[in-house]
Amino acid sequence: MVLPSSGSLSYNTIRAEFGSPSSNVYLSLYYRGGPYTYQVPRNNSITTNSSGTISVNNFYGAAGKGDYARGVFASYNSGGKFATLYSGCGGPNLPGMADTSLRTNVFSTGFTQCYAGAVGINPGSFTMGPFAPGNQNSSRPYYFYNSSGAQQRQFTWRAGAPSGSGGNTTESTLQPAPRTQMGPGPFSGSFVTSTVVWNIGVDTTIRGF
Amino acid sequence: MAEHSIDLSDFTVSISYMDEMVRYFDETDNQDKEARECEVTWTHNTLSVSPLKYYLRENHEYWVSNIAERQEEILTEWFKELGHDPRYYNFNRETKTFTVIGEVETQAQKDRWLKPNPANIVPPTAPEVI
Repeated sequence: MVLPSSGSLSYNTIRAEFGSPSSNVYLSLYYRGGPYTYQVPRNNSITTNSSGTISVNNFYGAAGKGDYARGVFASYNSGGKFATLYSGCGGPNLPGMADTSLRTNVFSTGFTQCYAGAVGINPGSFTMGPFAPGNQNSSRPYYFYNSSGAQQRQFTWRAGAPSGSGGNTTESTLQPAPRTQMGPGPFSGSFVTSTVVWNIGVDTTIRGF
Repeated sequence: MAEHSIDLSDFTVSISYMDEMVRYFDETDNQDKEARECEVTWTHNTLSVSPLKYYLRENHEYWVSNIAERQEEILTEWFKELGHDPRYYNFNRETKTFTVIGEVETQAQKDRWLKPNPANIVPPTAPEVI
């Protein structure tokens, strides 16, 4: 659900979409990049705090935080000869998701994991999920933005990838070609199972629609 | 000296509705729709802390997660209002209790605290005969 893209928009309508702790409705609460408004393309018409004036016209078609998951993407390395490596968010020894609501098409879910792992000499893997029942990840793109709205990563699950319906979608390094690859953008052509790819190192917002 | 554990779970949540209807776009059927705007109020039943509010559309797609997030904010605000510093406490979402970080709570922790390297940690094994 988002704000309408035409017609009149009242202050209360904006507050009711984004949420507010205040009985007074004021738009400055909703500057893009602030606590109620993520830096994602859908909200590009909303000005950021540093760029000045904010008005009702900025909010046509905009949406609150609910459609996006967010967390700090980091890495873990156990060290040693046959090291255990994890990179991403929500995996073992990694930071947890700070915001777990994620929408994919019309399905919304509590989303807690997006990470790649390699345990010693075992095959590596990339895991995302869990997703709502009915979700379909085959050929679905995912986008990853930093807190300034700059896109950090992008990939599209390969055709025929497990749906993730009611669970996770996982791909192993043993997956026969074609495998799921990053791109366009940074690490384009790398496999999603690479732990190097997911050490983004910053607070990251995830879009799945 | 800091209290070891502060339970804030005894509160009431009430919902009232604003007069004005609000608009939204429903992407499941591509229709503009109207809904009531809710004023949600948290009031603590026993402690002298301020009632705090949150405003959101009725049946908002992310009602549950938004309310849960705001509730945690409110409990933290109450905690500060009571004169505590949340940096030194862990918050348990289930019990709505703040507990001092590093607090020794269970008997096993106490035993370990009093005797950090007790003899029964590693079970005895028979020596290997070469």
